[in-house]
Amino acid sequence: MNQRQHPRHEEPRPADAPPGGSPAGNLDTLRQQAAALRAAADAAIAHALSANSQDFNAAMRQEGGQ
Amino acid sequence: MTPSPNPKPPPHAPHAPHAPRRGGVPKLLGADVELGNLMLGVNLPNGTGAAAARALLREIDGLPLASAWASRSGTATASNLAVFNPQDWGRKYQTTNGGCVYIDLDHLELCPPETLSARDHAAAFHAMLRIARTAQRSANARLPDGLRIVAVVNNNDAHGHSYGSHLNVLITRPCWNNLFQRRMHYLLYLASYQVSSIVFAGQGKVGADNGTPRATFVLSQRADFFECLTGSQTTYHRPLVNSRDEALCGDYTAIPGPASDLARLHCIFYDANLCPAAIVLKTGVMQIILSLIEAGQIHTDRILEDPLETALRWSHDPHLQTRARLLNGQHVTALDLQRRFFDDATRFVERGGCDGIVPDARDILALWGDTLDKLAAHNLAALTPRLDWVLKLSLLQRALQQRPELNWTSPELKHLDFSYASLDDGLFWACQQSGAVDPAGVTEERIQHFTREPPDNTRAWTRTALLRLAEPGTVDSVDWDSITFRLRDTDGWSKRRTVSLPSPLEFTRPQTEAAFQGGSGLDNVLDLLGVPERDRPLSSPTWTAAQGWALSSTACPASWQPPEQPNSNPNPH
Repeated sequence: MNQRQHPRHEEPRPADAPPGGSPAGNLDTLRQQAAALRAAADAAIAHALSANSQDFNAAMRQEGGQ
Repeated sequence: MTPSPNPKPPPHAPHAPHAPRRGGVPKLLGADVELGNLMLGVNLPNGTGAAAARALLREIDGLPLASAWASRSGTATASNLAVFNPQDWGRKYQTTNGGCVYIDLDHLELCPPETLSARDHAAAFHAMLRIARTAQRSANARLPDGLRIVAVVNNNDAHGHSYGSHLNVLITRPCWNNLFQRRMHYLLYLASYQVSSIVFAGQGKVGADNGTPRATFVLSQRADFFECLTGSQTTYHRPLVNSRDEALCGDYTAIPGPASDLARLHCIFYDANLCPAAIVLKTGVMQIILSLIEAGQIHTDRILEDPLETALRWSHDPHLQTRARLLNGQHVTALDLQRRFFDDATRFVERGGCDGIVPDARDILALWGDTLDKLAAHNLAALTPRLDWVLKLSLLQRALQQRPELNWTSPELKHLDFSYASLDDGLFWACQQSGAVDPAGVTEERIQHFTREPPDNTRAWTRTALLRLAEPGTVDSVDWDSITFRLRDTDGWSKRRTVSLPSPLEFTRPQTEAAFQGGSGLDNVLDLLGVPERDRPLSSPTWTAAQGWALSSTACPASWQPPEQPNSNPNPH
């Protein structure tokens, strides 16, 4: 069987999506995404830095690798 | 004893190998990704990596169940005769998705199952991360208070060590020969492509390593550690284009078969990515570029005069302004060069060069072109959901804004760099949960699917189905391309039966499922798959005029046909 005949999931893909909705709609979406990202980032940064960074960085030491 | 190929095609044996078009072979994908792992709350003389890796591995189910020491790279075996290999310890193949896990130099290493499409690869990789995260939580639950295992999906420890996130791509043997034995400009073309692709494939890193010039933020975690153009080594003097020749397509024999007609490019240059779009770009564009190289459609005007030095200079310039000299004397930025590769690829894809060998090639091209456009326009805000280095940079800049006492050399910045890819509570996942990461067509459903099931369009499906069928203690060894079972004959004698899975493109679900539905028990399914009743004793090699020297106890599938290769003999006369 050729791989192109395989049943595939059919979720919309970036290239299938229309090139853009209304400019205002896009802007609103981008603003919402940015606000969500800022909130998530702030919480995650605060959580990470609640530990001692120097201790963490020292403990990160690995022994070799490929 | 003379090796005997299957006398006739068994009823459920694979019959229809993928028929490569235009001389190419489907660009099947795999990976071997080492995690940074450590244990907080304890100091050990040689670090905590080994203890953390073993605790993580212990929590992941897989086969075989016994000592599982590796006898050769890739093989998990229960045999007591096996040899300890510090780069391949405790390998277990997954009965969930067909991938495997093991310990490589104190790192937990994750190998997703073989997939055909870049999106499936991204989904399978994220599924492996979820399996590892579940193991991490189980392991931490067993630890005393005050101890905690951390796993990081990155490639450096800021103490001078780098560890790999290797990408594996199936190519034809003639393509391999051209790259490494016949046509040096093919290798240089590939090296130049890889070096310029860090503009979308880098994870980003705070600071420089390995004695390279100081830097605040670099694009590539790995570029600082690459010191030569080509070679087979991976742990020192790392090469941009790795020449390890390990096809994982069965044993080499004089009989034409996958091992002599296929090869695996083991690309060790890339960073670990988490953004699905970055993974799709890294793997999908590599599939296209290798198809193009395989077809011999390359332009020497893309070749960098010094790919190694350029990798470092471009990595150390997140503004993407640094120029490097091409062999033709022109000076270009990484984006300039990427655009030229994009043009080559677009023409190739439009002519049908990727048809049947790179799924979704046009989608990948569209994503690639749009990403290059946005990078050229310095529109990083639009790429935050798409590229790891851009997302990480935006998070670090946010931290610097909020905490004016910090600067790029503060330990807190390096800590955040590590925390971006921390498996359990990393910044990346916080951003993803907020909806700020572009899924790029890699759906939650597909990721969940690959935590439970193998791909159905590669040999991973049959490998997994066989492992699920095995009774406890009957799996003697497992590799990507074979499984040996230890079974009992009807008269009670012990026997070994080895099923060979030499072509990763065969033994798909449509090809073998009937055997599993029609068989009653493992022995019967092996019969239906055409596996010899018992392995031949591995005594001395035998010679036959038809087959040459052979040690293998099992033959190539009767259906195997070598791919057509118009470039296989470029100078026939």
